[in-house]
Amino acid sequence: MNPLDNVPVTLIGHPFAPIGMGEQLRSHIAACAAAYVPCSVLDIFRYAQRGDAAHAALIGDREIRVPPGGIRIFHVNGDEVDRVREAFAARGGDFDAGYNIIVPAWELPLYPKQWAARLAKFDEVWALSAFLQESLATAGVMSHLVGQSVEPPPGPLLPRRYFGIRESAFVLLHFFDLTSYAARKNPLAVLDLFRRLREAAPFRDLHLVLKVKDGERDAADWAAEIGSDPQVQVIATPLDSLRVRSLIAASDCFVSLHRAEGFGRGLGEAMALGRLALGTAWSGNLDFMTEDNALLVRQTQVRVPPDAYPHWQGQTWAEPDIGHASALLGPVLADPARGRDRALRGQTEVLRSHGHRAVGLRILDRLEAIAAAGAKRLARPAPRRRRAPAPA
Amino acid sequence: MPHDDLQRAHRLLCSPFVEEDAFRAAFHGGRGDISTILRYLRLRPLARPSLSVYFDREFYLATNPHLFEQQQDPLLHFIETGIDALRAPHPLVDLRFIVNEDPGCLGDPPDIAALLDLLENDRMRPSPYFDPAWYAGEFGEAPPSRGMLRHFLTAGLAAGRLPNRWLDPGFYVEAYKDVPRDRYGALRHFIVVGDSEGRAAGPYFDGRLYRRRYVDVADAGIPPLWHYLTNGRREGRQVPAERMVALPAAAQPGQALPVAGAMPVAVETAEYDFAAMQRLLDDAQQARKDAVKPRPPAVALPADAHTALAGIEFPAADAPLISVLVPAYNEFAHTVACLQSIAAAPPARAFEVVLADDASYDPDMERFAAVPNLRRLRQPRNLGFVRNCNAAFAQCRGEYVLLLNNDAQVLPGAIDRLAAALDENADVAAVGPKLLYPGGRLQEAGCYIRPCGESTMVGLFADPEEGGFCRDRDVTYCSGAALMLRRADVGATLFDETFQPAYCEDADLCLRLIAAGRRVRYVHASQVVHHLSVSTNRQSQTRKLRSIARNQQKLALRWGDLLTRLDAVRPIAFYLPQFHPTPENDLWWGSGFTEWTNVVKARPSYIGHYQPHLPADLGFYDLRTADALTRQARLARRYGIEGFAVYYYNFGSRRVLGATLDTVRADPSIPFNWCLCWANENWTKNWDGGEREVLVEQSYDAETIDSIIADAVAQAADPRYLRVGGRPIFLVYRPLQLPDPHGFAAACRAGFARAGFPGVHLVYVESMEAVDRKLQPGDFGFDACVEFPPHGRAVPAETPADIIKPGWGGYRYDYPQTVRAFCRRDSVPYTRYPAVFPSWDNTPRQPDHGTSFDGATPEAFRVYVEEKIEEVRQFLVGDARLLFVNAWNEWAEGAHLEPDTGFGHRWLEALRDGIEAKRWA
Repeated sequence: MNPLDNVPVTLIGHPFAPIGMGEQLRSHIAACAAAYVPCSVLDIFRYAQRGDAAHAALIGDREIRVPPGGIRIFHVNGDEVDRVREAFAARGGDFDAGYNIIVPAWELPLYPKQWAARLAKFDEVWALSAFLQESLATAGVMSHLVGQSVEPPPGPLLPRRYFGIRESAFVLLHFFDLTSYAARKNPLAVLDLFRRLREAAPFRDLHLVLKVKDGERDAADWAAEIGSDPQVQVIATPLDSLRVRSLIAASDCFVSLHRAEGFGRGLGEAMALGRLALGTAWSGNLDFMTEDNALLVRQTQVRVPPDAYPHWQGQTWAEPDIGHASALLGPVLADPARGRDRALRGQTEVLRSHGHRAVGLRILDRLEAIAAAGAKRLARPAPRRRRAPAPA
Repeated sequence: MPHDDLQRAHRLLCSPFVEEDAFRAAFHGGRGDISTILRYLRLRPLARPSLSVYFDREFYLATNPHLFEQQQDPLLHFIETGIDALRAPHPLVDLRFIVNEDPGCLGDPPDIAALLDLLENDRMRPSPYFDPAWYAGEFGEAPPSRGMLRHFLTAGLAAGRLPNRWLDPGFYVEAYKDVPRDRYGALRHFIVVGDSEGRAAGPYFDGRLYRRRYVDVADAGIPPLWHYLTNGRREGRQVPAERMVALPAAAQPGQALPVAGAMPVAVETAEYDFAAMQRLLDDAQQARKDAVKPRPPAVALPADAHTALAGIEFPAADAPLISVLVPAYNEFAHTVACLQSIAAAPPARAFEVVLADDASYDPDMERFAAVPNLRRLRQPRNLGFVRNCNAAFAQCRGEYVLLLNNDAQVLPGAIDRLAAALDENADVAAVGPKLLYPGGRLQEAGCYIRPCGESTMVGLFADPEEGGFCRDRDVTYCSGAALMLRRADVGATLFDETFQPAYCEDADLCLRLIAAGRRVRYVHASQVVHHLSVSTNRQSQTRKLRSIARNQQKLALRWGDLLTRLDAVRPIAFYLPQFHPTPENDLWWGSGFTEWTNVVKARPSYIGHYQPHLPADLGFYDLRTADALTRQARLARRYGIEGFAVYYYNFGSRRVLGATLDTVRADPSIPFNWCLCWANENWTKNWDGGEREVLVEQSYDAETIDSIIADAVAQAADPRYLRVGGRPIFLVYRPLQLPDPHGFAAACRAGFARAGFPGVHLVYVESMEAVDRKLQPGDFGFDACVEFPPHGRAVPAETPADIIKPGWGGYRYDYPQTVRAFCRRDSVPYTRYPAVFPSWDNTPRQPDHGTSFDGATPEAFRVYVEEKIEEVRQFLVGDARLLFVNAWNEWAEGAHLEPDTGFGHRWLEALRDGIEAKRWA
């Protein structure tokens, strides 16, 4: 018998939230299924709207209301640990009556010390990228590198026409960040890159699509302002996961001139859909982007300016070389076939390392090791299992 | 009364056609009682009761008037001689129709019992006018269990039910004053009189309109509803209800119609169309599996394993040529059966059997020590499948090693045929047999591996006799359950122990061989039954699935690039060059004629009919210009299309429409890859390649053939010309039109050989007459054929159309159902390249008699593409993994991937998305 056989596994966090923490949790649900690890899902705060059909289909009857024992995998951030533990207890959960894992997000090279202390309340920490693993280590937190899956679900994709994107054009897509810490995503660099590309060839059939989150600071005003440019399109309406995936597939190249990324999910998803990815050669995205399967932009390390990001003190991040980005795109724009070969290599490579099965097996390895080590708390009578194993 | 008459009547009335209950009710006694027969005979012949629900005396008399004059009994006449002459006993039981549909179904001579069986069990339509399947379907969840016609005649008709979708006796009574007032009388009137007169059968079928719309039917004098129900429906002809729809003023005939704008894109419809197409194809797959009638192979597990064991003996072999390696861990009875199957039909050449016992705990396994000349290796401890096999492999002495699971049984000749396949192909390193389930279904005809590392057994659960599985072919791997290897190619170590205890080790081995430049081959004539034990324990099942997942991941990491390369598909689109003026067309159609001339004139024939298709990105191009060709080629490449199959025309050694390829060949910088498709048919006024109104006739004289071959050879020298296995691809559109296909093929091969090519890859198109003729490419000296949808499998649209074009009498088909029909085809024992079509509509060429496909959406097309890629994966290997598209630019046939105003790039996007979705799983 496998020691894991009777241990319930629960993913806890924000399974319905259309944000990064939700994405990473959902990707772990699919990963568990691919490795035949039955798991339950607990929505800890229950504040997120449940409007996305794909989320509902994925979570399905895995959702439970009462926190069980066994192994609990918390997809929450260091700064919300205390609130999560309170909510967990309020729901009737006994935090100490199980094995607790936390999968935190973070984007800079030094993990905040004050959060590290909170992580210590967990039995184990999983890292989403090697970059994050190193960052955690700087705060004395040891972690297992598990990563997250970027594999798209099967099914239809919406065409360019759905978004009103010029079909003939070579389309660059960027997820534009308007939040107060936008400097990390470095959106203005993308506009700069686009300006340079246009100056080099004013009548080239090139198109820039910027997705901004609705309701974010001045999004509408900003969209209206930039929207007058016929070669730039701003999409400010909220998009569910099918639409986001379709939007990525509708582009030719996903661009991220970030200064730092914990993982770089957008780049990974684009690669998994067979699209060319152009990104800064630094931080979490290097777990799956290489010189051969994507376009990596040279960068230099600079100090994070005061208040450009929480816990900025003492941190560095990347300053991508926009000229280099432009040079990388030149040959691709001249002959898109070159970019496609690279993108297709990227597609299979990222799915090999960050597909459901690859991530699921890394999760399974950890869970089996935990169960084999026979942590005492796992020996307690487990609640009835809620799900049969995932179908073959 | 003469005794003979009485005897005859008695004999005939005892026929099963006469219903006992009806007889008893009429004569208050059974047919066995001679007095009741007398009572029957005392009635005047024309006043006797019918005695069968399937017999209508009045109808029979009306259709056989001589009986009336001779005062003969119609019922007895039918039973005695009428059935032999295929006289119809009832307006809804039409024996001539039945025999025409299925010549053997009534027996020869026709037999009453067979007729009754057919009627009572709804085996087919008893008349075009009665449709049992439709009738049953109208009941929803609880139809009568059987005997639809009986139900209709005894209950349904009175209750207002219809015999088919179009014929409504109630409507008929109301519509015509000269018709009998009862429903049955009206029904009969319609069948006997009304249909021939072109009367309306119901609110949705008006014979007069049908005749007006389809003049050929009127000319032939065929009753309209009869024609529709026997042929017209299959041909996609339209049910002619009076449903002309008023158009907005701007769209009145003779006025310009506004050009259709972009077709709307809605998430809900996109998801629905995708899912609906998937469901249709899933149903088709299931239906195919359900239709299999497996015959269990002639092997069984021995009733008593111990007794069977005592009879097993192998010959001594000092220098065996074949080693049969049987790994075993317990499973005594299976192991006995396995060895017995070898001993019962031993291979012809010297062989040894090596039983590798992985430290079984079943004491019975010790008994194998007694089998004469069995090499029994027993591991000191349980090593697991992979290590056990490796240890035993090192002990094998044969040049060829057959791995054979101990739950497999070889059928006679299986081992010899595998060995012969290795003998014949020096670069083949491994061969696998046809694996069967004990119940007779196919288990595996070779396997393919998706780039993600998951493998699929080709033909799982299918009929092992289906064509595609009855042909040897190269494969990615064959299951290690029965796999014969050339020991020298494998080297010292069989399986990589990374994969222990088991799963995917066989795939890894085969990939190792392929990576080393060797081939793996499926050998269909070698058959092995594999019991494939299935664990029922959930936890062990989970453990197994996890092991498989781990090993698939290892496979993907190790061989991922090779797998991606092996899995690549080469999309090629048919390409029409008729987009530049030619002297011929100028003369026939007017100066400046091209396809565009017709394309722009097309107008919708019915509501929802998408016409005209007008070009978007590429505009109204002229295919003599390098710029247009370059843009086409770039667009194709952007969406993953490798090249074009360009139609080539040559009449009497004179090329027509050749300017396009002249431009391409003159400019090596145009990224235009192509092969030729000789469109060998007459040009006619009707665009149908037929014999009427011929503009220019296809000639087949030696000089013409020579010039065609010379052109093909010259073009094939271009590095952009498409090849398979180094051989240039050359297609022929209508192979059956060739007076001497063999001679043509031989001349072609000679021509290419003379020019220094390693050969030519001759492919014919399954167009028109070539579909369903049970022809094989080899029969004509060809190498392969290619599907040409929608030709040959089109399924008519059943929904009525709201016709808006006056005088329109065209043909409508259902796109999703047609796709389903193409995906349901049986596989074939030769190379048939699959093809897909995005949409089809020749209204530009036939404004009033166009053929169109409704329900074609990019989402359905994408599902179609994915399904056909699965077909490629199953049956094609290497650079022969071609997927054709009909077509790139058949604008006048509405079959074009090229962007139009309505759909833009959506067909191209769907094709690309389908291909890319298959790049991993």
